[in-house]
Amino acid sequence: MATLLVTGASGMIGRGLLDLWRRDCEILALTHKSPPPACSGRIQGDVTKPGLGLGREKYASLASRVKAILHCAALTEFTAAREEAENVNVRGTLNVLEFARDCRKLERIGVLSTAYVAGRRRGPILERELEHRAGFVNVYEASKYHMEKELRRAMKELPIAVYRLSTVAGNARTGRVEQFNALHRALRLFYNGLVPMLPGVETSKIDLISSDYAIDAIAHLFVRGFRAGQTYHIVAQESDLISLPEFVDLTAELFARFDRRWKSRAVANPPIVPLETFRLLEQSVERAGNPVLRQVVRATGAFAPQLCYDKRFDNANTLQAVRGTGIAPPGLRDFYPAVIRHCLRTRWGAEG
Amino acid sequence: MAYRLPARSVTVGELAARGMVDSTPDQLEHLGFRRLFVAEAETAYDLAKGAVKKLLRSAAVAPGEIDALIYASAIPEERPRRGGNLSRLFRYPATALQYEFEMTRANVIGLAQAGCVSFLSAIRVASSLLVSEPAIRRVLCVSADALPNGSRREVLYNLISDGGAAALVERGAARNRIVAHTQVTKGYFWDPKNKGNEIVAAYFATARHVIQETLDKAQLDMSEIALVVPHNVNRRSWDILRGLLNIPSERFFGPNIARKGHTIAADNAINLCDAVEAGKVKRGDYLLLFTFGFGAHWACTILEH
Repeated sequence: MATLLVTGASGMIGRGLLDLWRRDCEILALTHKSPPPACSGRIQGDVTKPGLGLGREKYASLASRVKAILHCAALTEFTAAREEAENVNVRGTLNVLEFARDCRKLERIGVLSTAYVAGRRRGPILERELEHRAGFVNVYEASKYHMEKELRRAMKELPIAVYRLSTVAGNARTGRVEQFNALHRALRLFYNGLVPMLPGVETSKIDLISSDYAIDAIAHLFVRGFRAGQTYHIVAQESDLISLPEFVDLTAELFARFDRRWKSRAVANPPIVPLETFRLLEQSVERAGNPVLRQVVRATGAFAPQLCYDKRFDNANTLQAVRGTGIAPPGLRDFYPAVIRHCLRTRWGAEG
Repeated sequence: MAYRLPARSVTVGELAARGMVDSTPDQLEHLGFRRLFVAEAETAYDLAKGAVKKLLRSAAVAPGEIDALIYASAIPEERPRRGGNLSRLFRYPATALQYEFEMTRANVIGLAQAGCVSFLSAIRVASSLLVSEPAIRRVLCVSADALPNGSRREVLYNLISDGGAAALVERGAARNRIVAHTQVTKGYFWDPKNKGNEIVAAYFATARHVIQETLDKAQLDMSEIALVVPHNVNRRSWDILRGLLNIPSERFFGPNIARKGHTIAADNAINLCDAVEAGKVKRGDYLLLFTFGFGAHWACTILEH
């Protein structure tokens, strides 16, 4: 692959891929944060700035060398301001595409996205599908959707593939959580007995993947299996999905298994309620002004309403592309216990 | 059943002006509260007495026919005073009531530390007595609480009124047959001051569980409940709980939340009396009484009117 430019290299997926590829190619990490350990060179830049925030000379030198771009940089906070999310996720991507047009040796661009560009759609979601009018649960979903629309336009002239991830829970082998996200924050609130209820429908399925599967799949799809113009769902196997009530019960069982005090605290499993009931709670809590409960319902309300829109992500493209490689998503029941154990052992990332 | 409220009632605006609440009148009205009853001239014992007098008159039962008296209270009437006479601590309103009403046959039982579920707990104990001791035919349950004078009146998004209630639990009674009862206590939440947020979070899930379990014991479906007789906690929490349990607004007796506030343990009795008087209940109706109390206890009773 020769020279590879990775944006967002300090994120969980970016770091994992760098670890895999460091012996095979020259990796340049465009970052405005701390340099990732496994890269050949760090380039101080900012995807939200024109010319990626690079000086003219640096830009030209980089454009002349880069053969592949993996665009991982994103603002993944669900509660971010709309403008901020659009700026990083849409404007940032447009800037990367602009740079790609100037790379004369460019062979491929891979872009990380989310399966939840499907927003409030229900039912089966195909990898080739994008446009819809169902709306979104949060600004992250909306901004990634807008990003993908720009990518689809650019696919006519640039060799782009899109990798849509579902929610990454942690490493399947060790349980280690490389990056705590909204899922872990919600689990922590549940553990602390602070979740009064969850908006959702009982038939909703929980789609979680392990970070090692995500990294292995992207690495294969971007290097050996690269096909321009394709979109891939990197999601759980349909046969491994469990329903929302089963997931809540399993989580409580694991809390009890790994923390002997859990049972004595008698934390009730949060009931699964229609969105209207959850909205009543939100209004009540906002009005009452209790800062802790306000934080809880805001954190839950930023993503949990997605559980009201029962959907299945079809991953036929991905399965076909990884066939024969041994790359397959581990089942939730197999890897989730280790993730919960890691969360409890590290006090949700506070220790190691 | 019968109840007695203090003579004086005040609006949330008056309470706010007197610095007796934390929230603004606007916030309290949003939570469904408008007026509450504050005992100034009366003690909790006076309220208990008032409720018993009314009950004995309406039930046409002679005090001498009462076999047991269960006096339930969430707030102790007498408090230890430094250097005070210790014997003051042993002046029990339960036995005073027995003497004053000449319930000479009645065994007296005090029931404490059950917060707002005190009254439903007393009824549960009474019905168990009727089952376990054939000689007992009538048990008088009394519950009365009054906050100390000058107390603040707001606790965890609720406004506290003073009040007393009484119920006669009688073998083979013509009305309000006790069909099923469930109580759950979660000791982890014993300290409301430090566990307030967790109590709010646990409230709905546990309430739903307790109500559903009571319906299951009664072999009833929520659609067969003619009227839900609530505790008068904030209206918004009931809107949410109604959503969780599919309770339509027309089968929920809610006007007293605004009119009378939350009287610690007497709400269910007050609401049942008022619902009957308002013609909301007819013979044979299944009624579901639910309450939550600090401690933390969740309780539900189903009656057949």
